[in-house]
Amino acid sequence: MMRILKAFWHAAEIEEDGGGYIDERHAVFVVDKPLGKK
Amino acid sequence: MLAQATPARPTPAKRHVLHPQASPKKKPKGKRRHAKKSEDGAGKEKFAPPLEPAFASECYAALKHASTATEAIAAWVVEHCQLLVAPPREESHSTSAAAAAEAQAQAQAQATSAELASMPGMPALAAIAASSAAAKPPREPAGAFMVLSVGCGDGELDLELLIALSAALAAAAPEGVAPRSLHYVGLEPNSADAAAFTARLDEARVAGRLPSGVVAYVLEEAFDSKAPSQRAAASSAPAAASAVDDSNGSGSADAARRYFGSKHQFDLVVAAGVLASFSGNTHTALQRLLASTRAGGRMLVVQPAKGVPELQSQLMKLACGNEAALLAADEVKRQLAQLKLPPYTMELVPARLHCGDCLARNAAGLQVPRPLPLLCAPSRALVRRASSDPSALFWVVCLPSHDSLARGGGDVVPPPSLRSSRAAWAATCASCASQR
Repeated sequence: MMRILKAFWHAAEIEEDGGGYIDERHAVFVVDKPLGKK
Repeated sequence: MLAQATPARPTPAKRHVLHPQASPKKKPKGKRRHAKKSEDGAGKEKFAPPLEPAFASECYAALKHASTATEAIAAWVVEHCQLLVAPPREESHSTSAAAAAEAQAQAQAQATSAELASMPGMPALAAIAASSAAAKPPREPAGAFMVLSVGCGDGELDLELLIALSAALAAAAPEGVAPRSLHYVGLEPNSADAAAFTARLDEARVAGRLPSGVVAYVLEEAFDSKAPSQRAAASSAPAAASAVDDSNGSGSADAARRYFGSKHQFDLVVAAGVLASFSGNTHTALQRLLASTRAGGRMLVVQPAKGVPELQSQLMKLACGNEAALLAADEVKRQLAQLKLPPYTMELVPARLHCGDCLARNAAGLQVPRPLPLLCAPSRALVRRASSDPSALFWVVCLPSHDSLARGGGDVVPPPSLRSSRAAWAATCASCASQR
């Protein structure tokens, strides 16, 4: 579990009031299916 | 409950147009080595079994409550829904040409009517022609715009998608032509989430948020390929009249699950954060999604790219010995590259996952009783189950400090603002107290 905790502390931004958050990015793919493809 | 998440920083979404051929076709050597090792290991689970529906639903709800991701993605969808309903390039050209021809014919008819009206004895005939033209019903729409959403969850995102698509279809219709109707099918094998979405749809209809012409329903079915036992049953039994396979009554979880099957293809197929849930590999899952998309249609795929995947990777190494089953956006890019598709677009939508309540163990954070046994006695089986599900991972990641600090802290040092709450953390856990 230590590795997870390390990763967590590394990823989390700790705020002045003791709160914290992790910056996320979600990839949104829009994929066109060609007209000729079944 | 956790405190309401605050909005993400107004970082603009980054947009990329990706050429599949330009993407690397091979996995990094290290990852491939891990995958091979996993496949070779006899008896090792490559994919974790699904979480119990109620627990999965609870985890998902908590994650959504703590993260701004759903609202950020919903905002992206609202902003880009015109792109989702736009016809493909060739069709777009023919549609605009047809609209131009129709406008020209209408102008010609009006000129003829005016000419008739100016001739002696003809005004009555012109009036009849005009009233006849006015009574003509609008041209029939090109057919319903069909949407399939795989793993729609409780519908918080999909309801916004539905409303936005309905508005976009109305805006995209040429003048004097009725807009295409919207037909939405949501697939959600989790009964709790499916029921919640159905209730959400009913509520939206009553409130008038969802136009009455929109057909939308949720099927409690999986899009996944069938379990081996069901495949065998299906191949030995004659084809059922229904497109959906029912349970074979064996009592197992696989047997009880209903699987979606349809030869119909959809204009838009949505898979938001669900690719990791398929039992097969990602390539097969994308192929199945593509097969359900009609030629000229689109797929909308959402997958975490940064944040949770890094933590998930560590948990998978702990639970499974490798991260072969980790599915982040990079893996989706690699798999799309192998499908030989035209260039697609990818945008990175920023969001924040708030873990302050859990970190601080304040009143809101302490109202979460469920994860304590998981964290205080993190059995390998439970961690493995959680490792494949980002929402369950939330419980594991955002609360393990409790366990760590209760047992002495190890080499993980929390920030000064949190050290003072160490005793309070330990005192809140009955399981830890009993072990002391």
